[in-house]
Amino acid sequence: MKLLEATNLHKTYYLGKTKVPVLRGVSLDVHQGEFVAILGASGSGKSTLLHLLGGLDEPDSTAGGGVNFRGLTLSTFSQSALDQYRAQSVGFVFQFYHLLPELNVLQNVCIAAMARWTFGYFSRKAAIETRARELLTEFGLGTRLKHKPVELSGGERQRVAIARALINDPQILLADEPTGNLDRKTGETILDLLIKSRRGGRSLVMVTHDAEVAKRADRVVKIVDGVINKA
Amino acid sequence: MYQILLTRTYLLSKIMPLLAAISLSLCTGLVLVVWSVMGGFLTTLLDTGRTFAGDVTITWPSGIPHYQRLLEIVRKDPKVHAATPVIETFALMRLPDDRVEGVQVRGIDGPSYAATVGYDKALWWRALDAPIKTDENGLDPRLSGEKDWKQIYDDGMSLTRSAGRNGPRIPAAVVGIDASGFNKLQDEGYYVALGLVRPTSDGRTQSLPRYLFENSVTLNLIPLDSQGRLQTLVSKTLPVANEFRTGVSEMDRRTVFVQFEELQRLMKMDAVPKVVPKSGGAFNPYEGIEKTGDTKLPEIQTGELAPARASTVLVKAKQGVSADELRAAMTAAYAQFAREFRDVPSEERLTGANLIRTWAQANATLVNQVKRETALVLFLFWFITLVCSVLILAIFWAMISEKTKDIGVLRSVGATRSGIAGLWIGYGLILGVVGSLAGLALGYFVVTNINAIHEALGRYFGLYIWEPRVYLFSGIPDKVNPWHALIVTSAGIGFAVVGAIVPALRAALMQPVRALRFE
Repeated sequence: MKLLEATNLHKTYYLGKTKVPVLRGVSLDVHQGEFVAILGASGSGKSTLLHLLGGLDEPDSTAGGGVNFRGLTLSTFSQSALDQYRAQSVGFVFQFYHLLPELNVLQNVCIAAMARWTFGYFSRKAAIETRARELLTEFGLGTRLKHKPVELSGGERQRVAIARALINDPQILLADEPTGNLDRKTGETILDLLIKSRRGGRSLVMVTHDAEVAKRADRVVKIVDGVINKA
Repeated sequence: MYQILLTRTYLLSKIMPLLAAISLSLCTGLVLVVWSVMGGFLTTLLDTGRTFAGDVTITWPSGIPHYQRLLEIVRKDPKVHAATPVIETFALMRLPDDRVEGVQVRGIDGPSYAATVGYDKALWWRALDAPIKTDENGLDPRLSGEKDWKQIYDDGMSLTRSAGRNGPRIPAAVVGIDASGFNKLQDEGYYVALGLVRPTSDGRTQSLPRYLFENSVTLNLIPLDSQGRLQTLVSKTLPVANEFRTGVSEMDRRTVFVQFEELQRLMKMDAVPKVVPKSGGAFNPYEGIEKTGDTKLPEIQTGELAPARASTVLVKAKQGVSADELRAAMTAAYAQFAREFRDVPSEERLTGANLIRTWAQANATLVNQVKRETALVLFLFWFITLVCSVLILAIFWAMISEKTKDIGVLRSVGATRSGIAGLWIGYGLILGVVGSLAGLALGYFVVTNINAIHEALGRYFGLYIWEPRVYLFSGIPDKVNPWHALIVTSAGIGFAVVGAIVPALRAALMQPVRALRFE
């Protein structure tokens, strides 16, 4: 089943008066349970594509393209609907982890659930924290729940970020260079975790510049200068 | 919810916002202190005025004749709790140590004066069952058995003293406690008698009895007749029955109470043979001056009695009746009184000269001055509190810049714009609550201990700001009005929230991708 469908995506950034076209007509489908790697050099537009797929940004409206999730066009979503899309259907994993430094490991994972449930979090708190502990234990962090991000290694932080991305049981994981800041061995561990997280039919779209990492995907999409170059 | 978690975390880990909360607490505390002192001064001024000057006064400078009938009419009014006649004049008072002080002398009827104003509560020398709150060591002389304090209190109420042991009761004076220099106010709030000396003609000194009520004073009075003309100077030595303390500096330093009938007699305001200037023909003020140099007009005894007079009738309102309501009622009462007698000033003359008035009206200049000063000072300090709002805005702006990436992360996991705004507004609200409550506690502590603090500043740094002669009262007002406290606390919280709004909107409207990429 087609979960995500991106059609003719254009995205231009403006640096003062200078127009910087980052995506120039990108189209991409992601099916349920599929692992798609988007391979490209730095500045090729791969992170921008990921952001558009995740509803973090909007494509240029003048180009007529868009992103569909289960047949629904994201550009027709209200702001509230987009927030819910990110909270319930999508999980982001970033290259630099982006953990909140004042919160401990458990809190960093649960915060995604807090953002989803708002007032309903209180009635679900016990179940959510149990789920967070299970994820963290599965990722080898069961004894580090009270630790702050500054007390963790890079690999450990990325595992926390993955747990955060999974806490709301999203249908799609969007990972932006998840191993880019890690050594090879740690990166392999993280990649294994991400691939393992697909159980239950979860799709994984991963952006990377590392061809070796991309090899482990079901499908690799090359992006060069804002355009898909099918490999 | 993540807002509660992050607010609690930021509150405990970020120093700058706590500094903003501290500045907010100082500002709100300052406003509360200023409002309590200035507002308390105004309240004390009005309350003391009503307490010791009555709710309404009916006055005529040369005295109201037939005042007993006026009292009858006034006391029957349903709005009146009590009324009393008073004679007011000025005198030079010679003290036991031969010093001379200018004083206001009031002739009063003790019991009816006590019913109308707080005279009985103001009498100082009396038996105490327990020490006053501030006298922790119980050193107040009134606790001791050294004097018959009950008799001395009774003497003060009746304004009489016994002439010698078992002698007849004779008129006596009750003097303001700070008028004579015989007493010193202790830090603990009670007075001790100093024991003064009097210089003698041979260059030595003679010790005086320690307490003023063991001595006598001499009043040199200037009586005027019903036409306001000067009469013969009168000098009267009176034993002192007791002393009084109202807390109003001017009263306590410059007022002496004397028995009403005694002062009436001395001032020739009792019923005296009526005399009129020689009439017929044109009036010549220089008649007789060639021979005698005396400009006094020859007088004719009419064989009638001029009615006894009182300078003022003081009236106290019943509970629930305002001073203005009572004034209107007393104007009507006086009009009825004036219709009964030809030789009393008409109601129009009294109201035209504003002589039926509340205490506030009698002191309108002072009261309005205090109100304006209070408003001005409050405006200035509220403006300073507004600065706190700007401080919070600046600090939050800086914090949001620091937290830009975190905001991007929160948006990426589905936090809404309103949720992000709510986080920062809630944080501002918490800082406002913490700061304002701390300010309330600080302000309350300072106000309730302000006199001790002022005393300490004076003792250790020579800094005496409150001058009783300028501010009328011996002590700085030290009560916090609950409504003022509520307003100041609420406003402090409000200012903090206002300061957080703009940064909160900024955070909410951030583009998530730009936030995540922020360096």
